[in-house]
Amino acid sequence: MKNRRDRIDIIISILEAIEKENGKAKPTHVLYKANLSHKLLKHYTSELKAKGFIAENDDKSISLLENGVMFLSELRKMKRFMEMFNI
Amino acid sequence: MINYIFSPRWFYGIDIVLEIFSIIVVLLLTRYGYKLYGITKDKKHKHFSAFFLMIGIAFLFKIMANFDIYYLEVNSIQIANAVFYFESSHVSEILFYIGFTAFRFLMMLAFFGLLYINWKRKDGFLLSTYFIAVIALFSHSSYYIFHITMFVLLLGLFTSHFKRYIKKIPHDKGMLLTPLSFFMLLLSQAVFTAIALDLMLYVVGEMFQLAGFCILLYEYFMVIRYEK
Repeated sequence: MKNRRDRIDIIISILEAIEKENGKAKPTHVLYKANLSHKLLKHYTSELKAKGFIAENDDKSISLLENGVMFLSELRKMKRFMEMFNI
Repeated sequence: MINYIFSPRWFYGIDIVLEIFSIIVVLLLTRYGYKLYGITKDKKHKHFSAFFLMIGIAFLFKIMANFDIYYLEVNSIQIANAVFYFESSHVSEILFYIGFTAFRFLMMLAFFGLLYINWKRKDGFLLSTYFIAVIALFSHSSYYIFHITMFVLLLGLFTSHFKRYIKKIPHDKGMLLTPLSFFMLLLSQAVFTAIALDLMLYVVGEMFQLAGFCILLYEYFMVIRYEK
């Protein structure tokens, strides 16, 4: 059976992967934890970077910014909303 | 032309307040659904938002029609349990007709739309819209057709959501709120079907409807305060 993850699931898994590493994680760790292809990770991280939710450090690790923490909390609420209304 | 008012005199205006409350609830859900669409870009979230907005607009039409009736109540007489009133203005007659037809059409379309999203269907919407329009027009002479149709749509929504709740183990009590709200709305429609028997049934139906929207509001606040 096809198990398609939607956009919101992918973003939550990326942000949670960083959050669980105390707000700073290596891209390979995020790749592994979020279960994404390199191409997809790059696509989403560049979008999240542009919106100021995450930042790339000099050592190539990714940090979760304050806006990102708030955004993750909002996404979890939205996910709950989707679950409750089956949408 | 003679029209019927199935509402106790003391309840005039109170139902309008209840409808305004329902509009506020559906607008909150509309706003949140649209916010969700802003993130997901998923059309079904946009449609979800639009269908809740449609419920709000439907209530506005009902308020318009009810307000019109209450305004003309001066020209009314009561025989047994039913209140009859005689309209003196053709403009009012048209407003009443447009108000109730639009209310019924939008309500049925909105709940059908929500059911359509729930069933994850992708075809037959236009044809269904046509049938809903026909029901809305014909329910003017037989009001119960509208309530029976609403009952069936809400039964579909209730069973669909309740099955999801049952299937998910361990059971998530929060997910029981949506079917519960639809169940209350379903009960209200069942009661409205029989309002010709007793005026008080209109009040009972409105109370069930209020309970349904109160649950939806509670659900909204649960989401807003949700912390994992």
